[in-house]
Amino acid sequence: MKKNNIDVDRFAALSNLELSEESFGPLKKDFAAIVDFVGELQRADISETEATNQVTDLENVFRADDVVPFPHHRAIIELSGRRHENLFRVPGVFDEETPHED
Amino acid sequence: MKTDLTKLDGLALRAKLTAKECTCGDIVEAYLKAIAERDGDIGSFLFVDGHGVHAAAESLDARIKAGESLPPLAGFVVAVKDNIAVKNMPATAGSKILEGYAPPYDATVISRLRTAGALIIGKTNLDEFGMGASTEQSAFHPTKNPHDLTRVPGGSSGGSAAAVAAGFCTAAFGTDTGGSVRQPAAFCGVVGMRPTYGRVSRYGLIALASSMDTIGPITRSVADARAILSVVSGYDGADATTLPVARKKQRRKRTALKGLRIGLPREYLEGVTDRQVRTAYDAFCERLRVRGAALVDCSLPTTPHAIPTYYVLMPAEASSNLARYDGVRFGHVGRNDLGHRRMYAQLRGERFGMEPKRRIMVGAFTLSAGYADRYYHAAQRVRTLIREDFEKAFRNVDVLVTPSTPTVAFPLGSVSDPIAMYRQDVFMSAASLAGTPAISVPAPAAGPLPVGIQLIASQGGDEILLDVAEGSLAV
Repeated sequence: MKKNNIDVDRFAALSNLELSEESFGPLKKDFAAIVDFVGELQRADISETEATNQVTDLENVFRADDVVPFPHHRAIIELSGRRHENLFRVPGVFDEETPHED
Repeated sequence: MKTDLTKLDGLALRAKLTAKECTCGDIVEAYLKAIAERDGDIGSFLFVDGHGVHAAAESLDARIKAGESLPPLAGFVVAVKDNIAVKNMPATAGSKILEGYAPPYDATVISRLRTAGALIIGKTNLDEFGMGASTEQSAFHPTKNPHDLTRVPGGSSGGSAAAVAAGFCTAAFGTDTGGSVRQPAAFCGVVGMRPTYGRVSRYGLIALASSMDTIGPITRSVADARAILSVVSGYDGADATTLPVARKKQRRKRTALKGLRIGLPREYLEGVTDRQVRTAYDAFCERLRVRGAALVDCSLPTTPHAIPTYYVLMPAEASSNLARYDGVRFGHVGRNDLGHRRMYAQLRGERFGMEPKRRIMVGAFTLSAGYADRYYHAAQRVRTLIREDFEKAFRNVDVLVTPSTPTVAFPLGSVSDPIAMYRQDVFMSAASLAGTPAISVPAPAAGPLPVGIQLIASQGGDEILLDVAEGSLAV
């Protein structure tokens, strides 16, 4: 990644992707090429231009803060392969030894 | 001689039902037979719901027999790209990470289709999460072009376009973020439309890039696309980006082209090197002129920046949208013996294909501190220039006409470089960034392989787009 001087490992970690040895090499090469390619947009003159966040000019959409019944709750919980009563079961998050990568 | 029902468009099938010349069961049977005989070679479907579609056809036939009036999409048998939720059918988005996931609800477009009498036949193949232009990036198998089995059908809605072209269904839904309905429609010789952003609800769509994602029909005729859009369009409380009211008053259908001003954007034409594409495009423009339209030279000067802009914004949004695949809630379950961080990263590393990994990492990069101003925020500003290009052009013309793709369908395996694949969207991505509607129609008598012609209108101009498309193809 010399050309762009970008730490690919860091962005794999930020992306929550554990990469195998055989995929890391090609991804590193492609990543550099893609960053160079999209860098072409720097040639556009945007000195006088505002950003576009939304194309149809809709304003923020608010609704009443009312609790309404949701019919699919149980069915969605049951999609998970690991659950406890009406909850998803996940590994503990407070006693994990793995350090925070970023 | 008995009519081959698989060769008719939806409105012709509906007319046959009205005349009692066939039943919904006959139509479904014809498609299932065609799929059984030929989809082994083409690979357009990931899931065929033979039992369900038979049952739905029997039910509709019984209602018709009992004297109920025909619903507007009776006779339409629709295939659905596998990134749209259909209740209790798989929804893999072409990815191993969602293998085994079957949503418990219908997307809004599906519930509206069902209410209108359409029948759902199954789920079609795609590039993983819609990331590709050939359907070779599906985690399950590539789809082949029905016109030439050595070539790609385009992508990412390649399964949907191939299924319509092969006569496996009346119509199909695809999704178009940067061209994924229009490009495969062009390669497969069928009609594919990207509606105005916000016209069709995305509730139930597996999101890729939310500021550009649209759901659009792939059909055998423009009239069928119009019929489907008229049913699925409109505000949906479940999708806050749907437009609250029709932007323009409904007009009388206009298929005469006389008096219309049609723009030929020169930046698009400079990129056409394929002789078959250029010849078909020129012949199509001449057809428009002979039918009374005025052809006008015009310029969209920011066009060369559209692909780099798209490939900053789309991965940025995708990296955020695909963060939800965590090995807990959907599809494949992560290993419980690892801590939560490793469970998450290990599953994602193992189950995402190469293209999602590339784009998630690029998205994380362009959004990260130190790079966001140079890439993500700059791309948002270039997006404004692209919108302004279209706004200026549409002050002078009603519709723009361009080739849909720079070449005809390319051979399977011939484009392995990711950036070369990204460039396949060269004529598509600007309209996506601007939120305008666009349609690809097959150029009449183009040659051995289909050529698509793209028509683009201003936001809310879906009806005029359909009118011009229909008027230009009318015999």
